[in-house]
Amino acid sequence: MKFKIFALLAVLTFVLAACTPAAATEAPVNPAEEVATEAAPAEQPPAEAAKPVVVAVWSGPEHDNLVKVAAEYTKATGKEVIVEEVAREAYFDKLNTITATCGKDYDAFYAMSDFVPVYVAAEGLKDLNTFFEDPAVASPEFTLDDFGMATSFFTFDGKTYALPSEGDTAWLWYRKDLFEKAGLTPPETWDEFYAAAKKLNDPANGIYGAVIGNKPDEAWWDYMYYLFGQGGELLNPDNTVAINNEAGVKALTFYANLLKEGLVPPDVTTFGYVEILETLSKGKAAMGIQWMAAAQDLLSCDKSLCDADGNPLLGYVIPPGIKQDDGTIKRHTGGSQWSWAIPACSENQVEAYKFIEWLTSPVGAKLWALNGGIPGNIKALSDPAVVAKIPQFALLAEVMPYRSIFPTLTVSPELLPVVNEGIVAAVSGTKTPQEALDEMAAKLTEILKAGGYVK
Amino acid sequence: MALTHSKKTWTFHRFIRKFEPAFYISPAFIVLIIILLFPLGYALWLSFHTWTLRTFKQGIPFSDIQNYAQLFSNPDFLNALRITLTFVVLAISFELILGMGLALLLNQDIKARSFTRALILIPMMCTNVVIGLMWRLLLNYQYGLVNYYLGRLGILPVEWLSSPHVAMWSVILVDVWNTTSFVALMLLAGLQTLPDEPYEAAKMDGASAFQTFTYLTLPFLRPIILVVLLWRFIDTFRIFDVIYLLTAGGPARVTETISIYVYRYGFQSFNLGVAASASFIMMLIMLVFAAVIAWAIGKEE
Repeated sequence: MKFKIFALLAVLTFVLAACTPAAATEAPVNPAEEVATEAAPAEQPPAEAAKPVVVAVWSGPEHDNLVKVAAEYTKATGKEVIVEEVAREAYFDKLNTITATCGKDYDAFYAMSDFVPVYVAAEGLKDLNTFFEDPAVASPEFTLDDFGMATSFFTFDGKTYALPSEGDTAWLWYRKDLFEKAGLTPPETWDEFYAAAKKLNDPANGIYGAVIGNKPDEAWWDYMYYLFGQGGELLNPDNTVAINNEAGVKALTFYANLLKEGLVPPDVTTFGYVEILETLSKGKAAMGIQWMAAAQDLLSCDKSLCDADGNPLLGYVIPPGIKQDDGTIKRHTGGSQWSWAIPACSENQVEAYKFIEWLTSPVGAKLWALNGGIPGNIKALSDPAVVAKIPQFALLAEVMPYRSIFPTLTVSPELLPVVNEGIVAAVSGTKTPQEALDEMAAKLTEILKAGGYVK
Repeated sequence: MALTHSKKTWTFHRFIRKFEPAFYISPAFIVLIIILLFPLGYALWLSFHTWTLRTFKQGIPFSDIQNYAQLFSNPDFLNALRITLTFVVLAISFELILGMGLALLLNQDIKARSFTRALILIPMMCTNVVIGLMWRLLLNYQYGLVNYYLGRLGILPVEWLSSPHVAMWSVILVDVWNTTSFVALMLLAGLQTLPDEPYEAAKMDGASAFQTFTYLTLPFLRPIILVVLLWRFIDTFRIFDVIYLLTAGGPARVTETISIYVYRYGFQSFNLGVAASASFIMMLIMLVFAAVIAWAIGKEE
């Protein structure tokens, strides 16, 4: 009996112990502690400054770049930065979850402009103005003017929620050797693109005329150049849907026909950034539109084809446009705008801000560029060392005036899957382009209405 | 005084004896409540409210049955339901037929029977993520081993995962590869408990192998087949990881099962109200099926 009582007491003790909250493993951040950072005497560095900054970025060249650049920050300041790589396919899902649950996983993350508005609406991002206005935190040289109009994508109601980083676009990459052999010049119009793809298409010898991407979650990012370049739009200026107008149907028909006519690899419905990069770098396609960020891989003899003299076989030009009556080419291309943001629930916000401010400063952005990235800082973009090493930035400057990005609306994350689905349906042949676009337009309109953007 | 003390002690002992088992199982019970009932209850609550990433900070209004109504009028959800049921019926059919064949074979006195039994367990030992990634590589159109060996046989490469007409068969193939061995093991266990006398009597009466199988083996194995059917239905109906890794529900949604649909709504569009509703519809379908099978098993007994 006594043993039973003892056993019962032991069980109760274990249950109570299990219910006790775990001891905090890191000092919680609270306003008092942040104030202490200002007032602390020099010989007592604040506890928060000692904590490493955890930064999330997706897999790919941006991750590789950040690891190198973060190491430079650590060398310069003695402060540790932990770079967390998240799989590309799951990146936005992960950030959505962290925003919704006030996650403390990261102190900063690489944020795309399409998602920032909804994160702001969900109160998931830290308002950076609180740091801009704090002389103990912000660097005296810091100015938002260094980012040009890119800041506008991340500023809402006068508050800036992210610091601009890569303003990306894509080039038309082409096999210089194949074009030369066939007596062709890089296409400037879509008719020339189609003709070149047809002429250079040689599947029997493992080379396709072109490569496109149609992966379920990435279709838009590969298709948008074809849409914009052929005069199409996703939305009108008043946010009504434009993608299913005449130009939109023509563009999607052109895109779908590339697969239908065997001018691209048959399995492009599984192709995204990685697969397009692989196809181009192995020389299996004569042409393909791929992000500028891929340049460090596509122009490297370690990762792509080069000739006997060590010159890359791939060249790049601005994607085709529409020939006008006066002979000029009207161009409109796509792209994306990235930034660095701080989650509202991060427990290391001050150090996170200091890191992203440095990362996007002329110094950090220059390092970013010299390691293969695209700096969002105008001073870094025009730095002589950067321009000398990466001549394609001159082309980027040329393209910026007619580059469009995905709409930055709070409903953008809901619009994107619908757009992807329609493009995939048309290219895979389960629907005609007109059917796919009309269905897409109806769904987009519903979402825009729910978001209050159209009546 | 002594009498009062005895009465108190006796009451205390009665109390301890009555509630003693409850104390011992209480930790496990509390954990079960927290990890099972709480999320279920919260999901049910979510399914009757409007929760989106865009609006939840402004409030989570009660939406009555709007989420459920929206699902049943959404062709994408109905498509996902149709695809899930197609996948379930086809995958289970193949697994039962192949599993039965394998079980009958392994029940024979063949050479290296033990080794063969161990060998067929290999697919079961792999985690679903490994299986999904492995088969994605094997079935790759350009670099996959399957197309490579088909090419060596003079057969044109097949768009296993990129063709809307073939992708569904590919995911069924992978699921069948993964779980047929376990179905076979369960049926083999059943076969080995069958009595010998009816078979001897049938043999003496001149019954053929087919007649023996149809009139003896199948009826005897019915309870086990029903259990296998129940387990496989629940497993295939809620399948997510393997299909997501193979095709992400594509191309053009032809392999988008309900689980993948829920994931898209829940974690990409972040409309948790609708995602929760879809999850409950899934659960209800599985509950109904489980109830039917349980009734059939009870009837057998």
